Amino acid sequence: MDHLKSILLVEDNARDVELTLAALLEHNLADEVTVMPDGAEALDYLYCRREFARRKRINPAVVLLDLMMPKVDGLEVLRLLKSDAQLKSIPVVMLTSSREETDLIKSYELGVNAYVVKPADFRAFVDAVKQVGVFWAIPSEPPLRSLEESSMK
Amino acid sequence: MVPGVSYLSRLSAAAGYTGVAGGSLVLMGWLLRLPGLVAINPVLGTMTPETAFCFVLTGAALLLARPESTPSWKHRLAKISAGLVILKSLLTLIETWPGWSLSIDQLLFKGSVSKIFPGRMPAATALTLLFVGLAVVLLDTQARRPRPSELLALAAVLTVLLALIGYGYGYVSVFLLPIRRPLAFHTLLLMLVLSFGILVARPGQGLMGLALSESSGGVMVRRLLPAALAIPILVGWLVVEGQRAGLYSNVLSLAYFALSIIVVFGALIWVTAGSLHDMDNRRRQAEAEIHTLNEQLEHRVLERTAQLEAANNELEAFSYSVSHDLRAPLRHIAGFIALLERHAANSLDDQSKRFISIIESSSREMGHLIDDLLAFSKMARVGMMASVVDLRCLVQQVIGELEQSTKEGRPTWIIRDLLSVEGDPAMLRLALVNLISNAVKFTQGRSERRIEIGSTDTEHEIVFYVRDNGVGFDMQYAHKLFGVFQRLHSNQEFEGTGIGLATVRRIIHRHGGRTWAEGEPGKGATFYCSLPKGGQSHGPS
Repeated sequence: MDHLKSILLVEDNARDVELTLAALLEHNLADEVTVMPDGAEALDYLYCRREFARRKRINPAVVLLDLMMPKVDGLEVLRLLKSDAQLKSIPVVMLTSSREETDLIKSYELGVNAYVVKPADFRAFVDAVKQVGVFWAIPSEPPLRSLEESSMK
Repeated sequence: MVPGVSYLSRLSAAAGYTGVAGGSLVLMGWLLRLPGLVAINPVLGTMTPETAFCFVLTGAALLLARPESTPSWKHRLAKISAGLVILKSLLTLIETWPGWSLSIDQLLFKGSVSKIFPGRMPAATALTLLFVGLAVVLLDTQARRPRPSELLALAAVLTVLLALIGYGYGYVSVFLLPIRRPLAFHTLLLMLVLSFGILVARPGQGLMGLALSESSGGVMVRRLLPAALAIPILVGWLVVEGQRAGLYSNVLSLAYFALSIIVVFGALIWVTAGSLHDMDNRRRQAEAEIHTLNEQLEHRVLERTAQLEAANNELEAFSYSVSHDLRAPLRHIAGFIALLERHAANSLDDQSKRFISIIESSSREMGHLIDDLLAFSKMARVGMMASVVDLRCLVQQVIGELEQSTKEGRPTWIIRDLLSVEGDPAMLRLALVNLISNAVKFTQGRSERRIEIGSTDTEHEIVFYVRDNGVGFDMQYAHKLFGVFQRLHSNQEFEGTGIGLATVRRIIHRHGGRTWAEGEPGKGATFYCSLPKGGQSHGPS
């Protein structure tokens, strides 16, 4: 783990942000985590526009995306990312409270790379975040296979 | 049954009795030499003993054949009796042929009653008796309207009617065939009664069925038929009398006859058509009303369906937000408690640590509760997929999964016959997970844990069961087992949310089946689920 690329965390709930950061910290995965409070800002960040117009355009190693957010929700962000030629190579991990199958199916239809139901149990959550981080935040070329098989749900 | 049916049925019986009684009286007259019985009046002709005997046979046959649901021997006897009448009339008809003589007319009686000789049965009588006999034999032969029996009885009625009208018009010798003797008046009367009796012997069927029906056809028959019988006879009589009195000539009398028939029937038809027209209008109006009502009903159904759909969508949205929003704060509680524990691990006393662990386990419990409730409500909402489910395969999968997550010693699994059933695989799987994990849970702490799973096959359903030798339950609480949040054990004894069996029941109900349980405290419990054969399933409830 020589050099970690940045992680973009899109999450509207400050507490969830804190818990996710704590989980990432636990595994020293939080070298550089950018947090965006909703989908609209996340898109601005990724497209380097408005307040991020001056940002140097480097894609994050992985996007951790909450599903339910004000303004632009997770599914919409996912749809836009995956239909953009430059952004669609960024792995996207859905982090959600919902166990609803429809959300899961929709996310996979839109091309999500992994889907994590945030467990109520913090330990389990830390484990899940660790797997995601290890999988995608490591600098070596990230393997593009889906996490579906690795029993992360 | 139309009221007229039983009335006509009784009338038919009366005709049978009249035939038997009348024929017997005449026979008695021949036997006892009573001229008053043999011939009412010598002018009106005599009834031969054969004819009288045939009437007795015919009447008896009608009485025997009349009730439709009598033992078949009665019907057979009726046919034999009528067969004799047919035979006799046929022989007589053959004899009528010039040069043939079988002399059967001398068979019953020889000699005379005060100079009245029996003589031969007139051919017209024989022909009518042939019709009548055949009509009885063919009474239950079905065909499209008119039935053969009705047709024959009608032929007899018309033959007799012709002779009777002739009598009425004062012309005694009405002949149908080349016969030398007139028909006796009482022969005609009895014949009329009998053939009418046969005509109405099956009042529910054929022409009589039509005449008695409530349809406009029935109304028409009832209105027109009596007039069609009475009016031509009456008008004919007037014409004959007028002619006799010299009021008009032969041709003119026919013209009068034709005109009066035209006037009377024209009027009758018009009146009947008027009432049929009204009936038709009323029916059309009623049909229109039914149509409107149907439309209203359909509209209402659509409305209700839309309301139900809206309610269902609301429920869906509700459970979606429960799934999201209720879980989030819970996760925060659990998450920050875990962080707190880590941060303050060294500075916390044992009591505080205990509190923290209580908060942890409570939030975990709450998480399970939410998950179970969501699964439970989902079972009522989602559509069902019907397919053939191999229970054996499903049970083995579920056991495999449960064994991975159980840390304690493995129970002994006894898998009996497991049949394939029709149902939704995902739902049945959830039901089995709940039942089997219950069995695993409630056998914990037993020295020898046994869980038996099997199924039985009955005529209408397949019953599968999960039996364990765990803590069991008191049968007086059996009705509570399948309710939501109903638990028979405290949380300290066995953890659980109290939704598992309610979910099982909901799943099985949606498959159109039943759930029940048997148990005894300390001995174990058996949970049964039945699934109907042929897969009747219920929509979202």
